[in-house]
Formats: sequence, structure tokens, C-alpha cells
Amino acid sequence: MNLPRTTAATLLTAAMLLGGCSGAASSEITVSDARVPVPPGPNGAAYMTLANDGDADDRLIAATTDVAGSAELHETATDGGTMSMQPVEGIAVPAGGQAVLEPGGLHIMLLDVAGDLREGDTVELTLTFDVAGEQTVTAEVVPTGDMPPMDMGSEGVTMGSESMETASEPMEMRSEG
Amino acid sequence: MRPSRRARRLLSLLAALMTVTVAGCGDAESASPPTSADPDALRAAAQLEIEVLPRQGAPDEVWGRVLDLPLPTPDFRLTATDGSTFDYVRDADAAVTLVYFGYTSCPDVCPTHMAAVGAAIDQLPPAQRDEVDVLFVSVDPAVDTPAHLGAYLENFDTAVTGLTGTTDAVNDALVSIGLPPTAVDATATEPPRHPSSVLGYTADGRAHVVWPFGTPPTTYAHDLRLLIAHGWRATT
Repeated sequence: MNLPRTTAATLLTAAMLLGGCSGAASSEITVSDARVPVPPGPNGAAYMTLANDGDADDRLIAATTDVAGSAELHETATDGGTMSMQPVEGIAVPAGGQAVLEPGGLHIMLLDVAGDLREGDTVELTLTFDVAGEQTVTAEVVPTGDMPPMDMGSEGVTMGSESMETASEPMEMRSEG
Repeated sequence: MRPSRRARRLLSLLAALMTVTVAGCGDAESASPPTSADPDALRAAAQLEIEVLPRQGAPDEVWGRVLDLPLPTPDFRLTATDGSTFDYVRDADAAVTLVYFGYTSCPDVCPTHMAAVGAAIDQLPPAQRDEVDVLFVSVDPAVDTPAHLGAYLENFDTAVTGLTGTTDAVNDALVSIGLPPTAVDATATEPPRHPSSVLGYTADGRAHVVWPFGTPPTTYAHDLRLLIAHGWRATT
């Protein structure tokens, strides 16, 4: 078929645009504040913030690292004053949103950690996302118990973005006396 | 009238069932139910079901969560990491005894909470550091033998008394405080649950203040100074 040049050019541009549209829904994961506190026992945790600047919802579904026998996704929860820990199948990182992995909440559990981690070391983790695929992250080894400051108001209980979650329990205000 | 053959068979079956049941109850292993909790302990410990975050109050006030109803004195005996028996009533004699329930393979909460307590004690003047005892009771005692627990606690800067024993003994300790018996045995397939708060017992034997997970070292240090100086009256 012998198409006139302008028609061919139009068709090619249209094809490129359409091709671009079909591949436009993607996730763009940025990892920040990745850290691993020195574990006092055989198991440890990796914490970090995952931000998704793309337009497709994504999910962290697996993690591996050379410094531990295995890594699993877990969530610590408090219910009725009792803490428990459950494995989770994935950690959602919505499009345009983020997921925060922090002490007392979501975390990557590291099982059977190498015994020689020291503050100042770095640990490489390979994270696998549903959409974004594999991504390597460098986490800093920090002191045991290193955690973001709890937002403590002077009047009563406040819940800042970095404070500990207490699930859906109602908060009691201590009466001034 | 002599019971019929059928009736006699039923009676012996019933007798057999009762024997098995009674034997089961008397079994020393995990089949036996833990000691019943003191109603006062249950009532006081029920306050812990609602978590209250610490708040930064006045300098002369305790910032941790002051209980309306203090926890009564625990009454239990467990094995310390050197193999000796720790009897709470006899051996908890510091100005402040902090009680924490956790386990050594805990990846997230226990290292974080214990490190916060340790950092707080480090912030105290040396003379005051001796006035605080920290008890770490394992809810995974089958894995956390005295030696294993002792090695784990070496990793924290501050001296911690590790307590373990049989699963029943640890659950008895929890129940004596009015808390749910969440210690597990060797057959457990899930990590054990444990209270989220550190309990602070003063010389009067009771715990008037508790601190939930997430309490920063500065809050612990602030409160410990007041409790060491003034005892439980620091909470009034």
C-alpha cells in the first residue's frame, strides 16, 4: 500500500501516542530513611519509607538480603494492651502515596541475621514490588532502638505522623488534679 | 435394686471420664490451667487494655500513664539467668522495679523498647542507676533458657535481670499481675503476644505508672528521677 507521507506520519504519531498511553500506568518507588538497627538477638528489622510517585498502585511483596537467612514482611499491632506480630502478604504503596515501615508497625523482619552488624555499616536489601519489580536499597545500620521521636503534646495526647499508633482504641485524657 | 447391665456400663464409662478429666486437670504440663488471678489484679490490669500515650507535663509531674488503680504486688517465682530462683516478693527490692515481658527472637518491639529503657537509665546520675531494677520476663521460655536469655540481655547497655522458667510459671506470673497468660511453649507456631507496656513498681510494692511502647528515653528518665526521689507519691 502506498500511503501519502502526511498520512503515514499521522498514523505513526497516532501509533506512538497510543503505544505511550498503554504503557503510561507505572509505579515509581523511591525509598528513603532505610535503616536496620543492630539486632540484639537472632532476628532484626528493616525500616524505611516507600513513596510511589507513579500513577499505578503498587505493593511490596518480598525482600531479600545477604545479611540474613531470610526476610519477611510483618506487621506489629496492639490490641487491648497486648502486642502481636503477623506476617503480611504485601505492603501497599498507593499511587501518589507512601508506606512507612517503622518500629511497632509494618517492618521487614530479618531472620537469622549475621552476628557482625555494627553501627555505620550498610546493608543491601533487594525489594520486590508487584508493578515496579525488583529494586535494591542500601540501609544504614543504626543503634538498637533507634526510632523517630514520639510527638508528645504538652496538653494531652497528640498523634503526629511519626508517633506510635494505638489502633482504634479510644484515648483517655489524664485529668488535671 | 441392682442396676441393669447397661446402667452399670454407663456408670463405669462416666467414672472413667471423670478420672481422665481430674487427671488432666492435675497434670503439671501445659494441660493445667494457670492460677486464678486475684480480682484486684484483674481489675487493675484491665486499665492496660486501653493504651494511653505519655504526655509531656510539668517538670514535677510524672509523664507516663498514671493508673487510677495501681497494680497490686506481683507474686511469682521464676528462674534468673544465673539459674537462681527469683522470688518477686523477696527479691524485688529496688526503689523502682521495671517489669517488661518479651522474647529474644522478637525483631521489632522488644529491642526498641528495651533500648529506650536502657538509654533512659544511662541518663540518670550514677547513684540513681543503682536504684532501678529492670526485669525482662520471657514469654517464649522454651527457647529463652536462662543461658540464652542471659546472652541476649548482654547486648543492652544497662543491667537487666532476665527471668524465665516453664511456660506455666511465666503464665502464672502474668496472671498474678492480672494480665493474659500469653507465654507459649515449644509447640508454638506463631510469635508470642505480650503486654505493650513497661510496668513501674515502686517501693510500696505497687505499680502506679506504666509506659507504653513508643515512650521515648527522655520520658523514662524524667519519670525515673521523680519515682526514685519521691516513690509512688511522685504520681500524685
